[in-house]
Amino acid sequence: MYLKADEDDAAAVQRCLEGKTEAFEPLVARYEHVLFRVAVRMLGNVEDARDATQTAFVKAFEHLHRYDPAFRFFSWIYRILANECLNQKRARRPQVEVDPELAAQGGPFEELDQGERRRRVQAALLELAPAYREVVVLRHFAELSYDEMATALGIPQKTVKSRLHTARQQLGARLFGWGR
Amino acid sequence: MNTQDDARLDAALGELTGAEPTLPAGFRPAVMDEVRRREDDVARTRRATVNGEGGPMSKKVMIGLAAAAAVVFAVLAVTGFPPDLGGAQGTIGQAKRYTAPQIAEGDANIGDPAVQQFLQSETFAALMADPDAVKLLANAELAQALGDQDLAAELGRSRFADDLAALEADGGLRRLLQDAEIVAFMRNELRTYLDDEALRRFLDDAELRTRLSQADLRTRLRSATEADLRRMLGNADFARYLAGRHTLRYALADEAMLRAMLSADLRTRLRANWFAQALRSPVLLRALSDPGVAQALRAPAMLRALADPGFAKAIRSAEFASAVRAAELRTR
Repeated sequence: MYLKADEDDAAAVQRCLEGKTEAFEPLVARYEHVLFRVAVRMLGNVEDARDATQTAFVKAFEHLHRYDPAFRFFSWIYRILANECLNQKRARRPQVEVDPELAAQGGPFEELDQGERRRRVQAALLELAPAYREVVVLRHFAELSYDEMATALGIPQKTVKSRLHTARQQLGARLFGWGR
Repeated sequence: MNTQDDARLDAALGELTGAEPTLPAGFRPAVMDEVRRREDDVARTRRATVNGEGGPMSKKVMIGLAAAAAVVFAVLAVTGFPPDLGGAQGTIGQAKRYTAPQIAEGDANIGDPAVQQFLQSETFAALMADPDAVKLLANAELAQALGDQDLAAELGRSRFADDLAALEADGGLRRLLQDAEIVAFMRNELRTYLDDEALRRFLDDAELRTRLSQADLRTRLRSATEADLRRMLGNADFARYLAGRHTLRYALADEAMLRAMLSADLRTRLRANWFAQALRSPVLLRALSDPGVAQALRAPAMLRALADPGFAKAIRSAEFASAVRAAELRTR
């Protein structure tokens, strides 16, 4: 759903390469929300997500001459953001973690209050390995199709589906005790 | 995991969807401020990459692109590309013409019947009556360049004249040829690329030819090549020149044209001495950047003269030089 404006993107990139920096603004406007949402779910922290998203845009601008217009702009900038999120994760531990007591209790998820449910879902997401976390984030929070995910991640659709299946199994195990 | 489990997990993830944090206020202006702050550095980096200073990979890519650009540019800028687009028949004809013996110094003399015939022709009279043509021919070096029979034949093509007219109309050609980097590229690097074994292998590659014959790939190649050219050369005038030329689009879109571009005949022509000399000639480059010369080159009298087989011989004769001097004095 975010990949409909490929021609506009290519034209904007071309204008930037011709020295018209203001042409970058529509690209920021088009992708800032989706990239920020992805970053929040990848990092679990709004401030970090803001920094990662801003850095991704700035790096994209700096390396626009390396962007290949044969591919979608979103796919390219998403890879920059994903790398930035990984860098930030290495630099600091996630600030939202599963409460060991709650995890041990294993009480019915649906009986928790809404704030706690949200906290636990986010924490379960952060516990996933990055390769699994990103498929869940792209599918559920960026609302990409399998085809769009495959393009953005640079992997076959079949692999996307298989990773998503595994990721959901792991989430289910953490949230609902599946497989115990 | 069954459907019920799936729904339960979707609902859990939906808890977060309903609580998406909003982007902090001022995010976009902050990004654009940062981008503008880095504008100059970025421009320098891009120029460095274009100039091959961006490390081994970017230099390799740059050389590949430059080679492709050199071929496309050379073909279109100087030859206007063969108008007989067809297949083998046109190619064989071209090859025959370009393997014809060159004019030797002794060929052009006063007693040469071809020269005499040309000097007595209406074409010659019209040429001498045209002040622009006379001015052009009064430049000895330029006249000598035009006297090359192959170059004369190419310049006499109508498509060249059309392209020249279009370029000259918006001042693009003059700006292009006044750009030191472009001129240096044409004079030095282009020659290197044309002599490059790797480029010849690239053009000779059977797989490439097969792939180019596929419509889908051709379409992608067309857009990619144009974008790459624009990016690589990083010169706004040159970019407009390449992007705006109908011949470039046509060449890259047309299967016959692609076949011709990969033909042995074309490779021979690109490596021909006259062609390389013409491209490297500072006189010709300077002359082409002069609107007066461009106008003279597409004057009907000049076009007729260039198409006349006697012109290339006549232009080297003493009689011709005298006639030009006399005509020049009259027009002053």
